[in-house]
Amino acid sequence: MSYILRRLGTMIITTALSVVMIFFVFRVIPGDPAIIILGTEADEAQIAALRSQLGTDRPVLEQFVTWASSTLRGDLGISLRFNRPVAEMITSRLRVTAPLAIYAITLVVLVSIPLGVALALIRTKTVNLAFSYLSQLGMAVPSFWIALLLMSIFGVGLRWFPLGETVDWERDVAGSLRALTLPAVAIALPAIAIVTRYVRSGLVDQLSQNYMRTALSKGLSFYRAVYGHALRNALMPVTTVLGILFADIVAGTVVVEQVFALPGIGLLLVTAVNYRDFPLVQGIALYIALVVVVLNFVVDLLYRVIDPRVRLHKPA
Amino acid sequence: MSLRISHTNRTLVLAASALSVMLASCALPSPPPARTAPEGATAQQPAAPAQPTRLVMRTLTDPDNLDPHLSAASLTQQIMLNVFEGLVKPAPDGSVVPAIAESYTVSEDGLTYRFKLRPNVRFHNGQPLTAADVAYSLNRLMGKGTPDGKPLTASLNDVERIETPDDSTCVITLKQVNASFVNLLSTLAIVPAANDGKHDKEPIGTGPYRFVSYEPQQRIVLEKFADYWQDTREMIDQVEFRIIKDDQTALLQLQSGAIDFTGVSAEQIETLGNAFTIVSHPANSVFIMGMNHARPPFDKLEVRQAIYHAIDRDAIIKAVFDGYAVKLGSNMSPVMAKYYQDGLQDRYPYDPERAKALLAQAGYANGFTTTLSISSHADIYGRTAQLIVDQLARVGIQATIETVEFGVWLERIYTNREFETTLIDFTGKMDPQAVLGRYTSDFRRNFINYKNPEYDKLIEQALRATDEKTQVERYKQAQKVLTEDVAAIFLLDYQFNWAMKPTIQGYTPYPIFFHDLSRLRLKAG
Repeated sequence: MSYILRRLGTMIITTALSVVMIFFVFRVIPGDPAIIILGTEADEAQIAALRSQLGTDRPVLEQFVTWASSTLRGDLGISLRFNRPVAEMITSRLRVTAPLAIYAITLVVLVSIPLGVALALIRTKTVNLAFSYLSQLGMAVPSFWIALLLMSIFGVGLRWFPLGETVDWERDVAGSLRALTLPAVAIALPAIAIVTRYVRSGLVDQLSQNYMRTALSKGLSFYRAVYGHALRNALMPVTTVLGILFADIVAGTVVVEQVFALPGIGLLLVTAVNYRDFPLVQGIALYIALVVVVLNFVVDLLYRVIDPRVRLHKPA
Repeated sequence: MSLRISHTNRTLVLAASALSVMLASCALPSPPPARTAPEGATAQQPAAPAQPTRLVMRTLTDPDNLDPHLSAASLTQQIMLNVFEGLVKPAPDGSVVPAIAESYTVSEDGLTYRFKLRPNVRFHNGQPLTAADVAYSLNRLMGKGTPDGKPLTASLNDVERIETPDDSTCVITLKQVNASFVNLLSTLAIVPAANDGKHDKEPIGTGPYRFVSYEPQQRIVLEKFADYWQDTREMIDQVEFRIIKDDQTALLQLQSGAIDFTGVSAEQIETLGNAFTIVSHPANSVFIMGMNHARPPFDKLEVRQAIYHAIDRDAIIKAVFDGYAVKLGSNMSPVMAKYYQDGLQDRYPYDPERAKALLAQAGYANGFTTTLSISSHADIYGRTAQLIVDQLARVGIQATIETVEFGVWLERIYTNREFETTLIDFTGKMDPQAVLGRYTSDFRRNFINYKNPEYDKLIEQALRATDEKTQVERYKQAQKVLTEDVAAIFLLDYQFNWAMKPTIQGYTPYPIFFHDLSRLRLKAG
């Protein structure tokens, strides 16, 4: 229990520190939101009017106090660029990013774990070579290129999947899955290459361990030895990788979102940074910090599920 | 002196050749060759007459502000000029034509403008427009009656007062003659006084289309306004502007049928084949290489002349724009036919030897090093910069490209003037004052620090001229001065290429950023 409390404390401090840091770092880099929003055609009067409307003409410390106190009250403020509540914008983006992340990570798990196991068990020369090439290809090909390729083949050529559509998953689950399939595959493909490698090499490593020989010699079937012991151990590092990948996707997949024109968190963050939209950047930073911290915690809990020997609290 | 707006007076007339919509060789397709439409789609019953017509057009970025008085971005204007109108509005030939005002008269001294408002103009909320709304809108722009009392634009600085003797008359008195005044009014929106405080949330205008919704980074939806003062029956019922940043994505979405209209680059035109109509027209832009006159060696005329001779504009047009651009010699596009000074584009031909000689004359026989700072927000800057660096190297100038984010560019280079050389394109304006006024020494955005009292005088004389002949003459002289001084390296005016489904007809190019929806028709396809 005290572990959970201590852990909660660290989580809050980590989140707060990262958000405060981003607040000040962001004020140091050049770029004035009013100038950026209005572009080259603005006259001075328009810029001054917008600055005072946005409140960016006030001292930084004053802006920090205003921002910190309202954030603590649960109010993330109004986006400078879009003139809408930050909290509302982030939640609306989650309606795209969350299903996309779950879809993509499901694909990764469903493909790479069986594939990794199969590749660990079938280690002929040809298979090893083919896997080595394919996985390197999967990791090396940039995701925007995969995205464009998927769009021209399955969107323009075959017309199996609609392009440029987002369907609300609360209204139409099948339609939403269909619209998200190409982006999910584009995100999942490189991830599959990485995770499969982890599963395979982890399992290969475990298979040669002494306990496996012991298990087999005491009469345990190969199947039970692999799935009951070796895979369990091999999955420990895979869980960590999956956790990081998931956090990555939930924090926004900038490139894939941009290429598919999906209104997700990543696209919002890039725009927020480009336009020096301070409240929006802060809001998304807070969200990402929370996601990473919480996911780390979840991964720690998962360790315990996979390997009951893992203790959550360090011995004193 | 009294004149009606509808006359061609004080308008700029575009060169017929420039305006004529050039259809790419593959365009004007005969009935579209069986596109890969899903089976059955073509066998549908003829649509019921009540079926609303709909169009999805691509736009590049989010609007900067939905409040027309706070917006400055050309891309916002491109859409919102359909929603808002001024007393007058722009016409495709670059002139201004009556809009909310059906006519106006100007006093003998050129100081008093009397606008007669069109009867039966309604706002999108159904309220009739009165002179009070006109006065409210213009006063708001001047900062009168607003909470902080600051003007929202400098456009109306010459206005002394606005009076409304009756509901359908508006009298504007100027402090001094301003030849551009009517031009300025064409993009200053008249909004209802009753909507005060909500213009950025629920924009209401008098245009042929009313604003329906805006979802950030997704779409802006407009709908035909049935009570518009002109016949709207033929117009398309609903138009959605889909916000798509990536060009390649937009092209694929056009091909997949997700969108009906997008801007394309010259090399994308070939990819499209003949399944789409292509409309190309000069953008009325001025793409320049700016040099900071406040920093040596760019304070020396010979150095600037040398750079002009060193740069091969034809090579840039060919390599970066696939030929879809015209060479410039001063800060004006030939699209502005009436004011355009022809011949200046040949003043500094590509001549590396001459460039070297000029450099030697200026004391830089061995060349010098410099930095070309460009923004990363469009790829034309990077591609042009690479060619320029290569061309400058041939005359001994070692330039390094520095790429910065657009936000940094706007602040450091455009506002704080901390740079040596840069690339930027100015978007089209109808008003010669707006085009040439950038180079007057007191202009706040004269970021290249160009100063010439003679130039300032010419621009001032043109602005205060009461007869058109003097005005045109001064603007032409001003262009010559810019060329002689090599105020900047005036490179080219590129073209816009629009790709659209063959069922779309009536796309009409303007010399400014404007997709005029009221002229678009959907042919049954």
